[in-house]
Amino acid sequence: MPFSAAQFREAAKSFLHRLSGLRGKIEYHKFPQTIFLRFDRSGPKSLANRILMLQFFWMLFIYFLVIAALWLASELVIENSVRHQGESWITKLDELGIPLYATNNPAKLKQAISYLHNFPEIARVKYLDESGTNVIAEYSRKNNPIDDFPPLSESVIEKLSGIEVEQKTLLFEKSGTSLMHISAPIWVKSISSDGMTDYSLDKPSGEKIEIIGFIELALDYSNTTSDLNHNIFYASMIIAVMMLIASFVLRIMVHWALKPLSELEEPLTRLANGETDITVSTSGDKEIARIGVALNTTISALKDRDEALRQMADHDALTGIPNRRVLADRLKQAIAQAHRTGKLLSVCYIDLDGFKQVNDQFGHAAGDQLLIEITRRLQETVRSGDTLARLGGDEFAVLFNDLASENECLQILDRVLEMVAKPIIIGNDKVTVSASIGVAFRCSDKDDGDTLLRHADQAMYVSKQTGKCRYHRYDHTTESGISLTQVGT
Amino acid sequence: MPPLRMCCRLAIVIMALILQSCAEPKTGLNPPLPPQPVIAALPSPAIKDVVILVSENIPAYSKVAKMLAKQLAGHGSIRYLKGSQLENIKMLAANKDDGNKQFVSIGLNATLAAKTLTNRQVVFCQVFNYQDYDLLTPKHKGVSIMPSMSKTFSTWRALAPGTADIGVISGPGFEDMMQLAKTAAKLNGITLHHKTVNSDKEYQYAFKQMADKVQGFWLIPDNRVLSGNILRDVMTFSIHNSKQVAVFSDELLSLGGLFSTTSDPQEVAQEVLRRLKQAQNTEIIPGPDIAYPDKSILRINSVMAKLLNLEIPAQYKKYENAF
Repeated sequence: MPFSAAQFREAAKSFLHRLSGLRGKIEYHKFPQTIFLRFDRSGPKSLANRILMLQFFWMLFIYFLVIAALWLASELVIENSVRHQGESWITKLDELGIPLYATNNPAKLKQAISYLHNFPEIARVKYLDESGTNVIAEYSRKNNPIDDFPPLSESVIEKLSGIEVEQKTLLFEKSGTSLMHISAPIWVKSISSDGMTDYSLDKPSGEKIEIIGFIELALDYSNTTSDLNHNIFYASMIIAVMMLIASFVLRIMVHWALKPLSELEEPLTRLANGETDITVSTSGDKEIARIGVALNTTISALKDRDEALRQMADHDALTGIPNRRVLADRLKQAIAQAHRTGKLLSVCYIDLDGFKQVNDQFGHAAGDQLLIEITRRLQETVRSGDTLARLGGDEFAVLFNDLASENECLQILDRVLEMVAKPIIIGNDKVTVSASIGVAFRCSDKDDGDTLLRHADQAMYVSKQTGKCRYHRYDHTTESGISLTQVGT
Repeated sequence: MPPLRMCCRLAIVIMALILQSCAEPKTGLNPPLPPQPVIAALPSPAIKDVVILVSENIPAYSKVAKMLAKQLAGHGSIRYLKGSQLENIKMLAANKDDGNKQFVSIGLNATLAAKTLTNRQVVFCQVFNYQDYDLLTPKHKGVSIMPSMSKTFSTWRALAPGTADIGVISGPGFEDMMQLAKTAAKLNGITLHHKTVNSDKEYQYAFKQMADKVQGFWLIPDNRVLSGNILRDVMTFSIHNSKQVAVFSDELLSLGGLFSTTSDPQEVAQEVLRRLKQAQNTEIIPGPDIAYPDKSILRINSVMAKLLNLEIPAQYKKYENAF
């Protein structure tokens, strides 16, 4: 069975209401029967989403930081590695170049060349004489576009020739992204002292150092850099995937961690909507439990305040019995019930006789005391299911429902008259008042609450006029409802 | 002097000259040494005062100096040269014209300083590279720092009877000495392979090149082509390749040398004294430019001998030491 547009809208509203915190608009389409919920993006954002967003950007930042650090560190590692490797190659080339310097024959470089072939990073090697300007032998890898070295300058030669400290000076020069030139002197050493028979390795007598030439080495490590960049790329991909997985896990964890907080949303929304019949869970995390306890205390206080307000709104402040508004509600309900059950009901209008004199003679406090006492006596007299209400001043009303007969009501009214007429002690004084009562029975479905009350009022008026301390029953048969025969004392 | 003793001394000198001529074959590469005058036995002259100049106070020098001074019995005075070479020369200039003094220089620095005493008789010793500095003149002659080469190779033969080829590497200028060494080696059934190099690195290179064809190396104290690193390297290389190494210093035995032979300071002192006495009444110093000692002090590294599977003969056991 198709839903009506109103039912659809109601369902959508209910759904929106449940999604508290989100603002949305409902659009209803008749055919096909569809509802669009358009959410307002300018509304407040979810705390969990905010945390996840922060987490996402933080992870993104960390990711780029890691990649940058990785790249920089790798560059440094490669450069340092090439430097160290270059140093060891220089040492080896120094050793391999000795036949060249011993014979001055470039053909003697054969062994060195076979060694150099093992290392593709070595692009070019030059052996220079002791002046640093004349090339004795040179090796260059084929198909390598590396430029020729600039000749060693005087300052470089001077720097390389420094033998103050007994450690070779190696000159590193980086050109481009993956090229490095290393220059080093070739030393020969000899023991200074001629007294070799007492030579001690532990206490060397000093050595003379002489420079017999220089080595220049050009290294092209672009392949290594390229390989490393590839590796960094793969590593960054792996890191990205791992971070995504971590992000997903973190998302679940954030939602799990904030679940108790999210669970507070529903009772708080209901509370915001005016409901106080709510209990917030006080189990779970300590902080959330404390919030739950605080909310329950607040809700309880709200309930008490509501109850007090309701009491104030529905009851008479002096006597504590229902007021006119409550009487009207109950009268309405009783009429509806009587309509269903067919039972008899009546409304009595009670006005105290002599109350004004008591007020005038003994003061308002005494009047109030009198009203309280009369109320107590009326409450004792009427049945537990009846409604006794104060309409104002010295006027009361009683709603009798579920009456077996009119007589039952009248018998109660007799007792009421009797009870009210009993003397009352106020301070040191004894006062006596009486009641004039008008009673109206519901005779037809047309009799509503207001009508019944008005009829009872009219009947009470007749009681007043006919001598007080009596009741008068409204007579439906007369147009005015006044009939002298229907009086009880 | 009794005639018998004189005859004996004459016979010794003649034999030494015969051996010398055998050790130096007359080839185109090695020009013959100038004929040495034959010194007739002379009556023992009065001893002149001898100034003993010592390069520095190290055992190899001071032992010889003290023994000389002792044997000269009050006629010898030791002077350690502690200043710069210029200061040393200035100090010696005061003695330049004193014809009653003979000089002994021990070590290279002292000998270089004594070179300025051109008209005085100087006998030097404990100098290895005398060729580089033109130290030899008729009045300036020496005693070799090298121990007896014959004894070195006979010891080697006794320790390692199977060893046939020995390598030796030196700086330039040792052709004469190497001829004597080759002769001494040959007499002991050993072929000596010599290579001349110019630097420590060449030494290292030549050492490794030569390793294939020799069973052992004879290290001589040529400071010009040796450095600390190279010494360590070649000694390590020798151990790794099971090469026997005869070294010039006891210290090197701990690095893997098989045995060391060093000259005997007492013999060196006696030889110097002998040359001084021979020159007492002559203008020049008679005899060969360099006199070679006949003795040596031997020490054998028993650990290396065991490592190289060599049996130390009973008569050499007394020289055995563990390093």
